[in-house]
Amino acid sequence: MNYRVTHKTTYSYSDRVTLSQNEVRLTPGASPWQTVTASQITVSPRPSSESVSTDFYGNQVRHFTIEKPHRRMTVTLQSDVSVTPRPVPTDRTISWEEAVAQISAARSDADLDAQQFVYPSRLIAPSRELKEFAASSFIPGRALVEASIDLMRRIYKEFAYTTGATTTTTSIQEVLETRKGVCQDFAQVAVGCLRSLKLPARYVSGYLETIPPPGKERLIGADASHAWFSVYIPGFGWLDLDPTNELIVGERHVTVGWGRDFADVSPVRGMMVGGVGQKLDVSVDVAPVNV
Amino acid sequence: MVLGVLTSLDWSVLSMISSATQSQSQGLSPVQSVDWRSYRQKAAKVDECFDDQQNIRPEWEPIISHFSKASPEQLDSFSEDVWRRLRENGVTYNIQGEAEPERRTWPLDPIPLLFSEPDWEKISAGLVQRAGLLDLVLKDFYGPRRLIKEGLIPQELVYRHHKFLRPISGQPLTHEEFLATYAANISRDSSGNFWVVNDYGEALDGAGYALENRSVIVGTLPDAFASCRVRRLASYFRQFKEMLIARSPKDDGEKPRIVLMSPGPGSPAYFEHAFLAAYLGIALVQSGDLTVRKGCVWLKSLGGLEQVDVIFRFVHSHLIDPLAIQSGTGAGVPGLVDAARQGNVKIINPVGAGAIENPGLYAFLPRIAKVLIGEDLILPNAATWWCGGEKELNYVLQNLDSLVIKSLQDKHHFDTTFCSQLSKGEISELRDKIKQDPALYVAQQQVYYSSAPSISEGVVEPRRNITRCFLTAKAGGGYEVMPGGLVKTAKRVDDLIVSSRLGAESKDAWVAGKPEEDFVSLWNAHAELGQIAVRRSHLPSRAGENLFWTGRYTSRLECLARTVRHALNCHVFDTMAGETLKAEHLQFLLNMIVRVCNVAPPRSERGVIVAELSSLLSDRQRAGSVPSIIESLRISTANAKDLWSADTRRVLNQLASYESLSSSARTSNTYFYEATDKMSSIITDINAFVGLSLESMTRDGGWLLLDAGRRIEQAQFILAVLIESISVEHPAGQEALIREAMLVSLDSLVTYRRTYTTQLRLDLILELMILDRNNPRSLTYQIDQLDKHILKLPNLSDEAAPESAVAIHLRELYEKISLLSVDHLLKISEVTARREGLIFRMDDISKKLSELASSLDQLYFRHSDEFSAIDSVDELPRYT
Repeated sequence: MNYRVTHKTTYSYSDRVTLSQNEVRLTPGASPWQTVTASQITVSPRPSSESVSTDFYGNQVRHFTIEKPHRRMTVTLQSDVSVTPRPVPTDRTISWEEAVAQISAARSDADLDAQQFVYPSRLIAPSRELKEFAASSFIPGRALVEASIDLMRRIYKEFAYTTGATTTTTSIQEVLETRKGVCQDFAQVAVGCLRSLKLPARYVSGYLETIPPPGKERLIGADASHAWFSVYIPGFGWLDLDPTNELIVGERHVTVGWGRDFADVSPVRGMMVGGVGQKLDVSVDVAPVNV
Repeated sequence: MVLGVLTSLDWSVLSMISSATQSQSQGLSPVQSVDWRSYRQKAAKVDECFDDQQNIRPEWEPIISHFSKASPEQLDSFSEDVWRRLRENGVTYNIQGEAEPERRTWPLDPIPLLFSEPDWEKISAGLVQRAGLLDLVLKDFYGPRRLIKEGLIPQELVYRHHKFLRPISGQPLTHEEFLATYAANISRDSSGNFWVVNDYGEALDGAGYALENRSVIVGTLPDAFASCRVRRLASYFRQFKEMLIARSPKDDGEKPRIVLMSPGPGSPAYFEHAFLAAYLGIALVQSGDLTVRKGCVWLKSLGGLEQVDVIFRFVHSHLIDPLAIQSGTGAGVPGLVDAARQGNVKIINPVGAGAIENPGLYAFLPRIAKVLIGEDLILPNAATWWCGGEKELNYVLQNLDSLVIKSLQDKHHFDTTFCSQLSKGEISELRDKIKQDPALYVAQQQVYYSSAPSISEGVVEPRRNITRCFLTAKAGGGYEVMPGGLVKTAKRVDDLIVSSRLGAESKDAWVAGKPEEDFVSLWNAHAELGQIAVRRSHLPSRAGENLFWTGRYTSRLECLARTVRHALNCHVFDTMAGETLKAEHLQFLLNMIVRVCNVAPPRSERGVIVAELSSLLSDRQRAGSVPSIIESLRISTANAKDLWSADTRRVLNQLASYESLSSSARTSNTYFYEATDKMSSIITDINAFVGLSLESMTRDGGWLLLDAGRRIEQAQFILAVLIESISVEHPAGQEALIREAMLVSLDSLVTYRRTYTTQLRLDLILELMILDRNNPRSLTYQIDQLDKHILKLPNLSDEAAPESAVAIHLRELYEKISLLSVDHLLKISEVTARREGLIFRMDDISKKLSELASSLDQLYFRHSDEFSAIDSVDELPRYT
């Protein structure tokens, strides 16, 4: 599938911002199943300086400084991405306990690289509660792929998708207790569950193509950025699962980047001088393009 | 053989000294006063001063002979002498207390710790090897991570250490050393071998204290210093500065601008930061002084923004850039790491260098050394077990009692724990803690340090010690070790560990050797070092702002002290016509103080004169009281610490040590007599400070701002006193007293009497206090001075606004003053019975002055760069 992704973030302030320093992670990354043909980030007001770097996880980071006093800043990503079907794990026999043992031994570079996603991170630390929640999916001897898909399914079923119930600072412990949240919370809970079992899991940020309700037109800009989780299957690689939609991630998901938790891939981060009364407006459009 | 020659030489010099000492100090008892037998009994298994045959090591003789014959009183006086020198130099450190940091005089033992030439040769070879190795380790951690991939060190150990910073990874690695400077704690253990106990990769405290210790001890032990042939420290600092210069990213041969970045006056070693900045001749800055624009780092100075090339930092990585490295505190300079990544600034050491402080690294370093450099470690480090391995964990849990436990987390989460100091219950708690997440913990064999003599309460006793050594990369490659270091000694004779928490003291470290090789006189080198080619910076805006406020507070305090003293005199001494008149006048004075000196309104009811007086003198919590202004003054002077001369610092120390007369009888006359004297000494101290800064500070932006602050404050005070005293006509008896009080508080009574031989007439008072250009206490005089200073400050105007707001306000001030006429000011309105003209004009001028002050602030200090976070809360609904 080919998409044109447009992600526009607007910050308005009731007070002037005289200086702001930002780093954004918005550019979709290239992978065997994702080709980025064109990508551009436009910032207004015009930055006084910009640079690009690649972070620890391979995500592209754009740094920029705005020195012009302003009450409104917009960051717009426009990206043409083509997504092809991903491979599916053919060998589904490896049990999750075997996977734990193999990753802990980390004899291959891939296993070693995956191992770092077992360690606790600032937003996602393993806990007894997460482990308990995971336990009914991860019954002894069960295949890792099957158990992970079951975990995704259970989060989809048992958690209520509720906007406004959580913020970026809500802990996953709290999400687990209230069973309410948005895609970001569900992805983080899943990562926490896997990590509590010593299985490598990462948080993935990206977009999902909108399908309008039958008979209605697609509303432009009505979408939002999206997040899901990924579990490492030894011998295969990373399997992406979307607990918000109960989907194995496929052609309709555009990947931006990944990390240990939300903080590693936060789309826009910045520091500013001034700018009291910050308001945020986000519009995302993932439009299918016929080539 | 060489050793033998040296020893005999030392002996011969020794006999000369000891006879000289004896002849100089008559009445000295010929018998040894120090009980060395008792010393040896208490000493550790290995002692630095005595060999295992219980003989004094020959190289120590010159030191020991100096102390051996001293009586307890003399030993005490050695300690006192050292303490006095430190105090005079203002050598302090801050204890991080519960509420606010407490300043203490730096503790230094009079007896140095001596390293023999062969010992030092081995130590330096070991440290140079280690620095080179750790540099390679850092480059690998933040680069290819070969050590992890090849199984030489576990990934989890590296990645979970709180000083391993993922955002640093992937930065271009140059051929230069990542570890440009490095420090290590070393100690000799009970087998007589030297060990590395800790490694430090960032914010390396101690080199400045080592330098200060040296300058004090050389002064107290000049002869021993010469006979021990102690190596000098100066050449190390020269190499260090050359390294800083060589790191500059500028390749056009231009002189680099280098700054020393300190966390600020609240940090424990702030003294050292100020001292080193002055010694190296570079600007002392805090993160608020720096800003990142156009991918480069700039110093916000009185001359505008100046580009910074090299930052020598004492700020830890997690507090240096809140955008790149989130620590939740928001402290630091947003964008700094990105500027370094782009190569536009060099940070020494680079952010992330703290990764070598990983305590678990020790377990793997011997093998890493074999692989990376093909050598064995010259200096071993303590046997270490990382609990992330199952076998290691079991060993540690079984032998916990005798081990030292460290963590990969920061010390707020888990501080180094010596299990030998723990109770059974605590050990079992610790065991549970380790079991919960073993990979976070590292265990080390406790090293039992050697002892050396220290003076404690008039007795020479052994104390265990460790030494922090410092290294700098050399401009041409390789490393240089400072021939000396900062010795820390245990507080008590039976302390097995040396810890600042237990009140460790310091010592000067003497390295015997060939002093001629690095013979550069310290103070000569100081002068030259300051001159070594770096670009001079204007004063940082923050320092300028603090000088400005220092000026304002000194003037405010002086006015307050003078007026309070007058009130005290009235209260205690005056035998005026009647008690009623006296009470009324005192009440008038107290009201005036509150309004004129910006003091918070009294808490007590009107009329309680005694309570109000004592509150002004001692209530720290009350804004504008004497102790509260002294505290404000102390804070602003501390913020500009590197700018004061030694004498100025002494006066400031004296002012800051004002004790708020908190004796029991706060209402007694004795108390108020004392207070009167106190106010007088405050006034004297302030004038000493003003005189000293006038004499010793260069007339650059700093002094101009200091004096500008004084002038503004003084002018405001004159205006307020006039409004308060003469806006209405008082009853005849009061009026005379008030006129006198007015002139006393404006310090012009004598001038008036000398100028005019008449009674106190209002028209003449106004003439003298407002218009007389020659009276240094007049309003016009203050404005004239202000005008002169402002003209000399850097001109920051641009084409769009050639006349700055400051200049405009100043011009308007002059216009307003030129319109004043004494007759008009004194006219009493028939409607209100007040001098409306005076009230209006004085008020108007006062407002203009405030505007002028805030435009100065805008133009020169404008460091209101309070950053806040831009949130990204865009995880909104999609699909259900």
